[in-house]
Amino acid sequence: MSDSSKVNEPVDQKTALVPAPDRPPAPIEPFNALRSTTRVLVGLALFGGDELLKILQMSERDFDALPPDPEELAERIRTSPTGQHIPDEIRQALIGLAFELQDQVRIQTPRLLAAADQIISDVTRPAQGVLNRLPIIGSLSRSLGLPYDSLQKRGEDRLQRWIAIGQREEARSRVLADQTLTQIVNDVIGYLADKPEVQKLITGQSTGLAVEVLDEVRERTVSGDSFLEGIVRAVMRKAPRAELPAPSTEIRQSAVKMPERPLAAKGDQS
Amino acid sequence: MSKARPKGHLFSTGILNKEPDSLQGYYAGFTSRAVAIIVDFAIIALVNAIVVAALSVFFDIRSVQRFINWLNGVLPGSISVVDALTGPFFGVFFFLLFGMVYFVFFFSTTGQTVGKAMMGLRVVTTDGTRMGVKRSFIRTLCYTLSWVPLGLGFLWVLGEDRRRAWHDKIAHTYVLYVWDARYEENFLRSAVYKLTKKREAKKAGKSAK
Repeated sequence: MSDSSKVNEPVDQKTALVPAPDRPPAPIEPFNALRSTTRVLVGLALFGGDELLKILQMSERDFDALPPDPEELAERIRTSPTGQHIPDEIRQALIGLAFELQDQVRIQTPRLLAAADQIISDVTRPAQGVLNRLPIIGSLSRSLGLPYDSLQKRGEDRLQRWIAIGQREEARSRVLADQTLTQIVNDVIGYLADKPEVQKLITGQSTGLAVEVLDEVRERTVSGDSFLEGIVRAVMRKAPRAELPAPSTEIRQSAVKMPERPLAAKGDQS
Repeated sequence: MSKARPKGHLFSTGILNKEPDSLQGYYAGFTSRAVAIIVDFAIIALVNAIVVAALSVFFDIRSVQRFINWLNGVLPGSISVVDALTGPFFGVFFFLLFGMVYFVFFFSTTGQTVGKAMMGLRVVTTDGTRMGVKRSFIRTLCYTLSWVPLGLGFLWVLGEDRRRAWHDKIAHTYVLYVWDARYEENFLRSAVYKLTKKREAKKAGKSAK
């Protein structure tokens, strides 16, 4: 690769988007729909992955901090929506196997790779020496070896280039996904807020809630009225009320309908 | 109307036998009225605070002060008026004045102040008509009278048959529930139950002796 030294430069994730002060600013690349879409998708996938991991971490921590009641847990395990059960031992053995396999793969893979590498180098090194000494096979082996080396070099270069691109694009994808998500959420909220039906629903619900609270307060104060009165009457050794005195019909009417000022009362006799 | 309650029942107005279903048009009790008046005084105090603060800020403006100094040169004594407007007595004076206007205005127009409307109450005359300005003024003035003996005039509602305070008696008014008033069934139930049981136990003890 001609610019492999450039490619191999480590890229700081945080400063990937900010040009260094002594470096000239990167040229603004023309808009490329496919590239931007890829960035957004990658960013969303990274975001989603991070969020999922966060949730998992929290759940695990909660479980450790406050494990559920073992009986409840056993009941939950026993309860099957289909009513059919895999026998407990087989089910538990399968679950155990899955976790054991995962552990084994994690532990054994590096060992296996190291062992394989060792075996290959142990076998090929003497064989290479012997083969190189043979007239026809030696030249064939040497000629095959060169393309193999260059192939390996190209593979490594390509991998380094991918890493560099990944380092550069990850930060940009995350920012882009964040901005896109925020914009979409804002747009959706704006769209909903502009809808008269939604506005009506929200207003209706708020009003309904306020009326409900007010009704509750009123009901309680009405109960409080009688309660306090009862106590005071008991303290004063007055006979408890058999019933609330009812005002006359005219007066009760004035509670239902806004009372008019009578013409005769213009002088306001008090 | 309600059934007669057993004699000696501590709570006499329907918590336990739930009758009548609606108390609309009945005389309003102490708690509802107290909450309403607290709301009213909170509103008056808030307006008072805003006005006093606004005046104080206004007279602190340099150009206004320059104008007052100039005015004092033309009309001697203007500065003392401004001092009075920013002094503590103005706050008290405005509170009383605004309170009076507030109550008289609402009583004479709808019979409901903001607090009373919130609590579903209305003040009407003893013949069921709306109050005029004069009667509203008298009723508001008599609030002072009810306050003076440590609020005894207000507490009078608790013992009076028609739930009238002193200012109601003087101004010939009633305070009624205008909403479909009803009891909150669960609220105070346990308190009522405990008190009733205590009373019954006390009576049983007495009769055993």
